[in-house]
Amino acid sequence: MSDRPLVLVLSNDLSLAAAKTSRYLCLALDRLGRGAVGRDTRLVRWAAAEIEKESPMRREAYETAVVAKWNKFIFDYGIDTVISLDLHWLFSSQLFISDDQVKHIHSFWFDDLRSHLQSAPMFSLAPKTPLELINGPKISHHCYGRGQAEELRVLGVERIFPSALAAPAEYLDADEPCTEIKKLAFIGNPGLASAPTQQALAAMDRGGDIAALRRLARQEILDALPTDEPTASWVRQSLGVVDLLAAATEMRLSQPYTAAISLLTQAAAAHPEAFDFLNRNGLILDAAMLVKFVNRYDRPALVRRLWRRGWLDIFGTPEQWAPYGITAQPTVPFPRLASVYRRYPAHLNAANCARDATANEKLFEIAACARLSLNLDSPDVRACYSNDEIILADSDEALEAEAEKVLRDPAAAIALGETARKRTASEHLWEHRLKKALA
Amino acid sequence: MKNSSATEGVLIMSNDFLTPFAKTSDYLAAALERRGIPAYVRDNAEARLLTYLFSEEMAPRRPQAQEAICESLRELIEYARIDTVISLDLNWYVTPGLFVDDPAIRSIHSLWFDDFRSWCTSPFNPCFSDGDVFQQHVKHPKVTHHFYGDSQALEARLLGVSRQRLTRLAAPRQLVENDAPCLRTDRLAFIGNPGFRGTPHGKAVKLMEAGAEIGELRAFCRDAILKYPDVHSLEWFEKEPSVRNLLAVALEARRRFPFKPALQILQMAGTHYPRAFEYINETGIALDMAFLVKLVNRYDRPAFVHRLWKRGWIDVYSAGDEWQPYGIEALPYVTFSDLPAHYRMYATHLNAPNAIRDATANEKLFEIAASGRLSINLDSPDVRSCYDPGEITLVDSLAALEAAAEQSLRDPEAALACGEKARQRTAREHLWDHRIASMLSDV
Repeated sequence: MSDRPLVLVLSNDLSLAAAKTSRYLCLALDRLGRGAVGRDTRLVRWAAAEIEKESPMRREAYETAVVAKWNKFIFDYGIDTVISLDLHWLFSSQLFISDDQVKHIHSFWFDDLRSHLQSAPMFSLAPKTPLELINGPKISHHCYGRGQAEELRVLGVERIFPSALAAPAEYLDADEPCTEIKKLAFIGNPGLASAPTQQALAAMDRGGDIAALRRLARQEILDALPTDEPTASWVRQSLGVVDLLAAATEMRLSQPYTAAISLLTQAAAAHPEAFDFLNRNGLILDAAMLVKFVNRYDRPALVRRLWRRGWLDIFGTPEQWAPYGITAQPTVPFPRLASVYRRYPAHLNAANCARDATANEKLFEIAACARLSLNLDSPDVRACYSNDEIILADSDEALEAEAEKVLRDPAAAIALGETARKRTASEHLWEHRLKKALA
Repeated sequence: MKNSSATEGVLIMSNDFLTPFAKTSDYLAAALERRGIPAYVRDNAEARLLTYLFSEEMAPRRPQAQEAICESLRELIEYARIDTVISLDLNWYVTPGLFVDDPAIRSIHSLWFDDFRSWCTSPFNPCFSDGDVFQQHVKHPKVTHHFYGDSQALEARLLGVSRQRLTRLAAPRQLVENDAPCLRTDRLAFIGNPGFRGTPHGKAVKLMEAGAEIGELRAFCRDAILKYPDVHSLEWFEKEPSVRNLLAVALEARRRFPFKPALQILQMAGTHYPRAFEYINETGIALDMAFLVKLVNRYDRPAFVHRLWKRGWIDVYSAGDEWQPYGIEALPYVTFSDLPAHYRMYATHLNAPNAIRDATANEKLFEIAASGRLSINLDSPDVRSCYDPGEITLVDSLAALEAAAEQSLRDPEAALACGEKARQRTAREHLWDHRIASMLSDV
């Protein structure tokens, strides 16, 4: 804490990645001379939902008590800025927004709006809508991907700023030696929690490339439309939805990094009634999610390709990798992440399809640890690092070839990693993002 | 690389209803981070609120609530490799089994700010459990209780808490690094409330206005406690008349030895009135009786402040409503982010303990010193064991206080020089970093 107005960083421990990054945001703010305190909102969200369900007549009393506690906290600490990943700052309509002492609220978007609202229960915001609340003049939305930003823009969210993710400065100091030179590593989950279809697995086994897997994913989406809920209900109400999604997913095949929502909007020109139906029923984000799922096998396919060659150690939730026939080592706890990054000369990196943004946090973390990351080429990633710092492969075959090169010459990989570390130190730390946001 | 016994992650449980506790939780976290130990502050106020508001109608949902609370922290413990839990008072005690039964948690530290009785009876601290479970938790071998005063420790020992350590309070490091200028050398400052919340007795305020010494005010309190007993005391006196005698002896002893632990005084008085002592023990009111004994000192702090206020020598900050019955107009509340500048703004600060705590080396003592400013304190063994005269000022009467204040107004440079010595001592010995280092070295 410092003697300037403080920053409150709110997380939601239901998303442990948010807990980790929130702590790094606090440390970065302290280094910038802006004292910060971190708090969690998971329990209050749970309680809000539970009370609404079990004892709704007590909700108002409970919310009043919670709000009073937070208002006192804000006042006593002298907090003037609230920062959170996603909308973790929004759990009651009565907090922060109308508080004169709070001058700025910053949302650094990790997730997409739809997923966030589904996984983050809160006190009822009525009579206001979430959009009304998050569009206040002191609220800024920082998006790390054009897809995310576009999605928010289409929904009517204002004050959107591009802001790439970043690495914690602490990782720059990691000094563990590289001991696993005969392997690469991947740290993370498959992205989408649901198991892959047998056809997808068979395609991966046959060595099908990403383009083929995207075509397969698209077909799976379209096949399920009239049979699975809730899409079957959409189709019953507006048959044109099938054509709209067929068009949007077709475009996604050729433009895999164009925002799903933009593709839907483009497709709407030919299918205005279906788009209107989705819009009126608040289903646009759900439909956009389906379009994103064209890329659902990108990450698992890349991992599986290197796994099958025996070149890759995987750390993540073993149960989520098991359906892919992959034996993963347990999830790496936060304090050990940097040392696991440092242990290998190179790491596979691949975006989570649900995010619609490819320059994920891992991209910067691997670089901060002076290790090489192997990525599929995409505009977001290319905007952060060049070919001299990371690998940007334009296909899975190319990525496989790069992995082989790393195994043949790990020292060269580490040298590239070192250049990435320098770039990260000068441009891609949380300090850089926060400085810009708070300017 | 850290060795296997090194602390990997610390969870600090706060209760944000009480922001001074929250503030210190954040100072502890900062001190841990400086040691390279990741620290996560988590608030338990909402969990407690949930218990408080829904204790009856939500009773059937209690297991789900308990599980939700546990779950919300267990995942963090797992992924952040938390092995140590620290809290002020028993703020780590939220729901049974959490932490004590978790094999990942190797040690739990309670840094006592408050006293056991106040903590257990505070409406801010409802817990999911009954008395036996509570006892098992506070006496659990993983748990160490840190006390900053003998009396606190003694009270806890009475409850069977054996794993105790003396751990002084401390200052956050950023205060020793602050260089805000000293702008007020014509006044002293006091930042805080009067301590005990009850409205002061009219006669006590009159005594202060008439210039009564601190001894007279303590004598007044001694008499008032017996003359105007509360409903609980009346009930005790009725059931066991010798309790009144026991209390009278204890109150007189406290007047004469104002810094002896209240409970120790009661025990000594109990040798003269064994039946009364047995009664208070058996009925579990020993801590309530000790509380009454502490109240002999209830006007120590207000009298300190009042004496200088009357002379027009002091700016008083915060708790305007609580100071008003003393005829004191307080300036607005000082937010935590403004505290360092306010400490530095004045050459000298008044400090006086809160009577309820029964421990005199309060957090402000260290914070004023860390800020390089002089504090004027009531002389007590606890305070004297932390700083020497020359670093702080120790007085034993209101007259001496007035003289010391006058001296600091006449020669603020000398006050600042003392403050600088106190700052150096604090930087060497009395930061939260020192307490954390000592605490973790025992793990």
